Order: sequence, then C-alpha cells, then structure tokens
Amino acid sequence: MISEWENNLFGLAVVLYLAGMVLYFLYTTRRQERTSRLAFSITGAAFVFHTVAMVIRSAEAGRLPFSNMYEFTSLFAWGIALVFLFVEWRYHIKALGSFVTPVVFGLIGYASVLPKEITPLVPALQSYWLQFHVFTAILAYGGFGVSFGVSIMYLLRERKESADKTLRGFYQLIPNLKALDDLNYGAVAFAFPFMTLVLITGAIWAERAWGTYWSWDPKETWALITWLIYAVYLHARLTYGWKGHRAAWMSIIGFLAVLFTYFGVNLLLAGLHSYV
Amino acid sequence: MTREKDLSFGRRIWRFLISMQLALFLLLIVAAVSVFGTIIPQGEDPTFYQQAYGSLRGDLISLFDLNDVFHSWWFLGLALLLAASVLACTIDRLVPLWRQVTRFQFRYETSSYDGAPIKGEAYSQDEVKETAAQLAKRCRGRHYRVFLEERDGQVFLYADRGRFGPFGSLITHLSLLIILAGAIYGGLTGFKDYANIPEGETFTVRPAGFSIKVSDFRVDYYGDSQMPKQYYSDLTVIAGGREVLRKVIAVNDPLTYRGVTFYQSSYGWVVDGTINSQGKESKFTSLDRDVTSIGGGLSLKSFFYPDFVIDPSGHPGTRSHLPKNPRVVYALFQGSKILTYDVAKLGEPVKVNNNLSVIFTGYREYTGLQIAKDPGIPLIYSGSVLLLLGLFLSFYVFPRRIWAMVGPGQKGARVLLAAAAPRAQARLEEEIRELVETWPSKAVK
Repeated sequence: MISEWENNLFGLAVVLYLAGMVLYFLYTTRRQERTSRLAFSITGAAFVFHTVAMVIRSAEAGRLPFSNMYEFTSLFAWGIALVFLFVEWRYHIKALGSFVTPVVFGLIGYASVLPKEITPLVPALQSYWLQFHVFTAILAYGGFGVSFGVSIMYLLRERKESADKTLRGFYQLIPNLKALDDLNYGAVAFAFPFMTLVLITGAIWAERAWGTYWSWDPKETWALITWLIYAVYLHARLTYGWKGHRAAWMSIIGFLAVLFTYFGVNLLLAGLHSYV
Repeated sequence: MTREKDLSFGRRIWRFLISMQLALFLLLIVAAVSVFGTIIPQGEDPTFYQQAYGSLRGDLISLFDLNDVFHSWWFLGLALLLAASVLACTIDRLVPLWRQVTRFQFRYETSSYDGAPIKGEAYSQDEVKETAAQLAKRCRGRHYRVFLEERDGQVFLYADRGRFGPFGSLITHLSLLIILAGAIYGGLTGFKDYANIPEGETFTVRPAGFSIKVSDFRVDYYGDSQMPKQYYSDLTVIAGGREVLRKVIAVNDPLTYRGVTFYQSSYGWVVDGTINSQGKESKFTSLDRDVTSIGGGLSLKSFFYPDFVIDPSGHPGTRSHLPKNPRVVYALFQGSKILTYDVAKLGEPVKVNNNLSVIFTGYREYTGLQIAKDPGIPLIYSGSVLLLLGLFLSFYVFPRRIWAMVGPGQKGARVLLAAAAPRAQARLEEEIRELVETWPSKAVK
C-alpha cells in the first residue's frame, strides 16, 4: 500500500517531467527563449513534486526510500534531475535539456510501472551505511548522467562543425566545444569522488552484514569496472590530454557501464545485491 | 635525448613502470577481465562448465581459471603489476612534487612577467610600500599565504593557496596501495569459517583458541506476517574456561572478540533423538535437511516441520513458523541404501526392525554464524579515508600562485602581476582582476 498523496504527486511529477522533455524538444526547433524558460520551470516543478512524493514515502515507511527497484529507479531519476537543474541554472546551457530530460523521463517512466508497495526491510538492508551508500550513488550517477548528455551534444556539434562551417538552427543552441568539454570534465570530477564513496560505503556495509568487505559479486564488480573506466578517463585527460572527442566517448562508455551496473546486472546476472 | 639501448636494464624497467601507457593498459585490461568474471558464473564445478559451454570452451575456462577469475594467478599478477606501476609513479613524482609544494621564488625580472599564463599591470596613486601592503592584505583576505621582499626600492610579492592540492594525486595512489596491502595481509593472516550452532551448544573456534556459546536464537517478525524483521543470537565468548563477553548479535550488528568477528548469517531447525541399535543407545542431533551419520554405518536425513500439514498436492509443508504441530519427516540410510522413510511425531519410537529403533525427542533452533578474522581491515579502512582525502585535494583544492613586482610609477606605484593556476585558470584570472580593481589604471590578460 502506498498513500494516495504520494501516488498522485509521483504521477504529477511523471507527467511534468514528460511535459518538460517535450518543451525542451520543442525548444530545439522553435528556439524561443520563452519555451526554454517554461521547460526549465516545468522540469523544476516536476522535481519539487517528485521530492515531496519521496518525503511522504519516507514518512510512511519510517525510513529513506532507498531499498527496492522502484525506490532506487525513482531516486536515480531524481539524482540526474538534481544535477541537471543545477547545471542548467548555473551555466544556462539551454540545449542540455533535450539530452538529459529523456534519460530522467526514461528512468521515472520505468519506475512508474514497477511495484510501488512499501515493503518492510529485510534484516540485511537495515543499516545506516546502506543509506549513505545509496545517497552517494545517486549523486555520482547524477553527475555521470549529465556528463553523458553533454558528451552527446559535443559529438553532435563536432560532427556538424566538420561538415559545414556555419552552424544553423538547433546547433546554435549548443555551446562551443571547449565549454562542453569543460562541463563534461566538471561533471565527471564532481561524480568520481562520490563513486569512490559508493565503493567504500558498500564495502563497509557488506563487511557489517556478511562478514566480507568485498566478494566479487557482479554488482560490486561492475561498480568497480565503472570506477576503472572513469579512472582511465581522468588519467588520459590529465596526462595525455585526451580531451574533446575522446573524453566525450569515454563519458558515454562510462555511463553505459553505470546503466549496466544498475539494470544489466539485475536483469542478466545473479548475485548478493539482488534488492536493486 | 638518451637512446633506448644506452639505458641500463633496471632503468628501462623503471621507465616501463612509470609510463602512463602501462597504467592505462592495465586499468583497461583489469576492467575487461572483470567483465568475464561477472558473465561466466564463478566457482562452479568443472563439469558445470563442460555442460554449459561445451567441451572445448569448458576446457579453456578451466585452463585459464575463468571459473575463478578474481583468485587466479594471472589476475593477481595484473593487480601486482598495477600496484608496481602505481608505486613507481608515486616514487618518481615524490621529490619534484615536494619541491614544487615547499619552494618558491620571487620574480625579480620584468621579463619574467611576460610569459606567465595570467598577466596583469596596474598603477596606483599610493607609494610603493603602501601599494605592496595593500596588495598583500588583499591576497591574505583571499586566504593566500603571502611572502614579501624589499629590494632596491621595489617590493616583490609571492602568494599562493591550495598548494597541497598536487599532493592529492599522490595520496590517492598511495592509499590504493595501502588498500591492496590490507587485502593481501588480511588474506594471508586471516581466516574465514562458518558454523551452524544449535541453541545451548558451544563451538570452538580452532584458529582463535576460544569458544562461543549460543544461549538463544530468535526471529522477530513484522507484525503477524511471515516476514522476518531481524534475527538475533545470544552469544557468549568463553576463553580460558571463563565467560568473557556476552552480546546479542543481529544482522548488521556483529560481535568482535580478539579480532574475530561473528556475523548473524542464517538459521534453521535441529532435531534431537536417540537411536537404539542392537541394544546400544546413542544420542544424535540432526540439522534440518542435512544428512547426519548416526553410527553403525547408518545415516539419517531429517526435515523438521514446526506446523506440519500435508498440502493439497500431497507434499509435506508447514503452515507457520510457530511449533504448533511439530513433525519430523525422516529417511534412514544404510550406506546409500534407503531403509525406511516416514513422518514421525516427537517422543514416539520408530521401529525399523527388531534390532533398530529411533526416537525423535525434541527440536531446537540453530544459528548460522559467519566467523571471520581479517587483520587487513584497519589498513583497508584507513586506506579508504586517505583515498577520500586524496580525491578531495585533487578535485577541490587547486593550487594558485601569484607573483608581483611593485616599483615606482609616474604618480605613485606600478604593479606588475603574474599568476598561474593550471586547473583554475578562469577563477584566478577573475581574482587578479578583483585584486587590482580599485587602482585607476589596470589591465589583466
């Protein structure tokens, strides 16, 4: 059972995320300042309702909503929306919305078809370390999600620039390649320490719960693979000067590893981490 | 440029170890083989791989330890090579980095201001010393560390902040080595064990030289549901014949004594009984669903049902977890031959033949404890703290350096500025602009 309030607010958030995404798409063709402002406000409103729905759920459950597929998928979308809204507010990259909001809507849409009942926590999940673990994962994934969107913009603009010198229409909305590359790095640099914390808090929790801080479980291993990919990104960037094109591809591969860690491992591989 | 063949063997190895190509290659290869370790089920029997992957691929999996990637010799080899590379890079950069962080020089020559990444020039109406003092004050106000030197009527300034930032990468890499060392140390000196201990019994942890007594095990359920809320075991540590420590453990709340930790891991039922074989009586305790040897070449497999019921399909089951109608479903074996099987009530003798009878006298719960000693854990956790500190320094503390030369100008003083911040260029440029803001004539580029 979940409360009607939570359900309605969550539904409203889903609809508003969808509206925000459609407006961001519209903006790419109409290119009116008004449309992008509206898209931002609507996505912001969706985020607020989403947050309130999760607060209500936390109150109902007497714990943070961190522990099943529905809760985590919803949080995943929330984290990307949070980082996206911050970046858009701070850097005013209007075109970013049409690349990131589909990821947010895709996740929240998936969450909306998952079973929503508040289930009591099995003993292994009753740990503060788990809450810390999930919270850091949300921030890390949010940063990686934004760097993914930025990287796709980078590759699009780059391809267009090499085809013809004058950028028209939608491409005018995409910031220059240097700014995108900086933002890509900024998002990864923000997320990487949190990803490290995900591994550390997960290890501490596993040690408390199962007596082994690391057991090469598929989920753990994929989180490590993700971490290694971004470690390569950072090293290659700082010492080899792998910026721009290559950095954009690394970010995309990294985020695909994030998605695989999250969905692929659950759907295709079996392991200890079978809650989410 | 030294030619490759002029280098000694050791020097060449060193070059190889500190190269970024090697580091990146190793990181990618470790990531790639880890993928194999998640796709191929790990730790199964060799026959499993033969059946699942066919005989050729099954053989290849066994040959390259792909059934146990993360404990294979070559994975350990890769990890150690990566560690060697990290260590070599750390050592290689230690001295230059230390110099960079601790030493500084003033810029005395006008020409040395030309090539700086950020340049500035300003004219103030105050005299030289006053102007330099203002500049120093503004730098200090921005949390810079400031050094001043007067020479020939001119004042030279050096200011920096975030100078420990470059240590971040050093600390990060060192911390990874500490974590790896902790994992290896723990693996070599620790142990892992698992014990199913019935209530009221004592288990001796052999490698640790003390015992653990289980006084009670219980399960809390959510309301009236069958959904377990928490598992508790009441444990007492007995060392040197004395009870030294008592704690009720639960999942996520283990007990630790002398570095050995007991984790609540599983639970189940045991059945107690007596066997009478050719006039000799002996007692046994049989774990639910386990085969127990009960002497005389006989073995017993028992299933305990606390609230016994035969379900519509004719299979035995239990209505609840409460012992309202306890029954034992048992099978007796002589070697591999089944002698008899049936359902028994407690306290009712089961006569197998004239020479053999069994009686189930009672039931208890057992607790399944994971027992582990891992002396590497303190290293791993301190490595983790250092890792976070290192990342914080790397990603949030950017070194910024400012040099200035304040000399006499036409109506007051002339300030020449140079500044460098490889990773915060734009921010420092902004700061330099703010530093000279109040002076009538200025230029920053």
